[in-house]
Amino acid sequence: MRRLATIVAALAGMGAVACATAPAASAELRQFWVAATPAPTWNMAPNERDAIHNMPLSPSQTVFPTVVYRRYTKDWGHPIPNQPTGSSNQDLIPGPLLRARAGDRIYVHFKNLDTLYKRPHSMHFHGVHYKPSSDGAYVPGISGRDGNVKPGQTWTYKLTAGSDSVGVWPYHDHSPSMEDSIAGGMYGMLSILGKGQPRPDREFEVVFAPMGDFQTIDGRAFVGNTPVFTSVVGQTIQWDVMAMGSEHHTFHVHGHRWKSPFGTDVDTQTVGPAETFAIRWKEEDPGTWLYHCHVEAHMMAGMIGIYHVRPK
Amino acid sequence: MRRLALAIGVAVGVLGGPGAAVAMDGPMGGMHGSGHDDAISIAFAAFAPTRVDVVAGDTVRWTNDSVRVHTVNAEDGSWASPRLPGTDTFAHTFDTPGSTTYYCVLHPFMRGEVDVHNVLLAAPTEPGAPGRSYTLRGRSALPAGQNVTLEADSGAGFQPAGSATVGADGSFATDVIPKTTATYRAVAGSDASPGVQLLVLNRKLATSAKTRGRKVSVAATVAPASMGSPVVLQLRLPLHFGWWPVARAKLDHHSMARFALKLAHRYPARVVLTLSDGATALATSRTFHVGPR
Repeated sequence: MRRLATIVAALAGMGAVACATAPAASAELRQFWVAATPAPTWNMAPNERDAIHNMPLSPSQTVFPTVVYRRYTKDWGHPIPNQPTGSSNQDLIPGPLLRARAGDRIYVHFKNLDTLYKRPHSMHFHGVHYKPSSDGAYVPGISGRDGNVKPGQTWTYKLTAGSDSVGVWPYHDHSPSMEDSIAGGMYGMLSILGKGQPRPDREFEVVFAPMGDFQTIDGRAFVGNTPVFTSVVGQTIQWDVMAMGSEHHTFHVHGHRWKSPFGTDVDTQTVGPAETFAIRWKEEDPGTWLYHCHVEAHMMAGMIGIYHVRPK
Repeated sequence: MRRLALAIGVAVGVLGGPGAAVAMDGPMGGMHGSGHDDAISIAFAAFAPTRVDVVAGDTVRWTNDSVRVHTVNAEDGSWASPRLPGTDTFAHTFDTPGSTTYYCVLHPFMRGEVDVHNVLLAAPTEPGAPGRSYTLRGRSALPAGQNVTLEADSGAGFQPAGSATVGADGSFATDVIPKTTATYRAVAGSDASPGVQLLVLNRKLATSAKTRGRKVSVAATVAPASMGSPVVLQLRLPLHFGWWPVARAKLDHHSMARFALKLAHRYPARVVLTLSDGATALATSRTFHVGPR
């Protein structure tokens, strides 16, 4: 059955970043406290198997130490879940889902608590407006502390969501440690609604990225390990899809279709490095479905998950 | 190839866990290589550690952590540091397998030794369990693709116990399934690493569980006592295609851990004692059921 679907955001690469219209004066200030924290035993496959091929996996293949973005209460009081309730059944990768609305100012207070590798880190945001001091990218001799936050140091990134920021956008480490950090899962998403736009009942984050010998979704590989997303018939669900790394991916959900950016009906959509898109639909199809990257080699290496829709 | 040395005697104590004992480990390959430190500390009247095992091509770095001036001089006179005031460092690269002794010319009773190998096996830092997979890791100066044989000696001489292939970064790893405590070494051609001991303990898990409404409490006890070891409560969940970790704890000074959670349905459950990676199983409890009927 065909249904209307909404493309919330075009590819992130189409968004202007650094110099556009100022927000309305009545904008809300949204503040987030985020830290780079060690995840010393991140496990890409806690169930220790590729269930579809009935292949066992060893922790020596799937467990590794890494550093991740973690959300905290005010002034980094204590850690709280990265994902809003119902968005995922796992945490830490990707980093906090930073939600805002067009016109809002967004302050992201970042602290480097990397006691594992003691590397510098940063946060670089796509899709929003900011001054160079909030770019978060390291350029030798040019950039400031924003792109090179050393262990124990803090930086506040001051961002503005313009009318051209509506949609989902990546953020990631852009410090001198960028390559290792991204390979280890230091990325996340901004989710920005238009004024008056309702929030979905469920918002699912899907980040395609290679990790070690596997192809992962949200830092996990193979069904059961990758997020098991759930919804109930009648709910409005939104998929936030992003890719990191150096490869393109094709996002496919079984039993569902949506409108492409070109207005055609699709059930598979391509996303490249640091590109994002969001798709919405009102759920009508109960059952247990697969979602995955349809690049065959990626799917076989772990980029596949379960989407479970309960009857109303 | 130059690389920072893994002074294994130091590194395993700092990083902990078999997954971290060798610096260039894990699925990320050599990406996290900077996590290890080759440091030898020069204290007031001693080098610490006094002996290290390194791989040919490694660089060892000495740091004077004392208030006295010291030096680091090879006993055979082949290399020597300048005078090192407090906080100064000196580094030397060891390209040739063999043993080198060194001393401080200002305090000649201070002596140390660097043993250089073509293949080196990291000492296990946690006990294994009989019949349970255990990952042994090492590094080599041999070319990528070289085969390395793991051998074990539990009292009757060394016997093959596994094999591995040297990676592009010089690291190798393989899983062995020990039956009892044994000494392991890595062998490649005529090169053999020093032996390292893997202690094997047969530990047992006992559990008790209560369900009141949706509230579930589970207690687990491990014998012999294993204070500080991690235990994981797992449920068998269809949508996760097997056993899925739902809660983690560390054994207290009574070798006990308690879990509390809320469940809407009834599931098969078990508790697993693991290595510090939180995943490699050392002992598994019987399966029991928790949650409302």
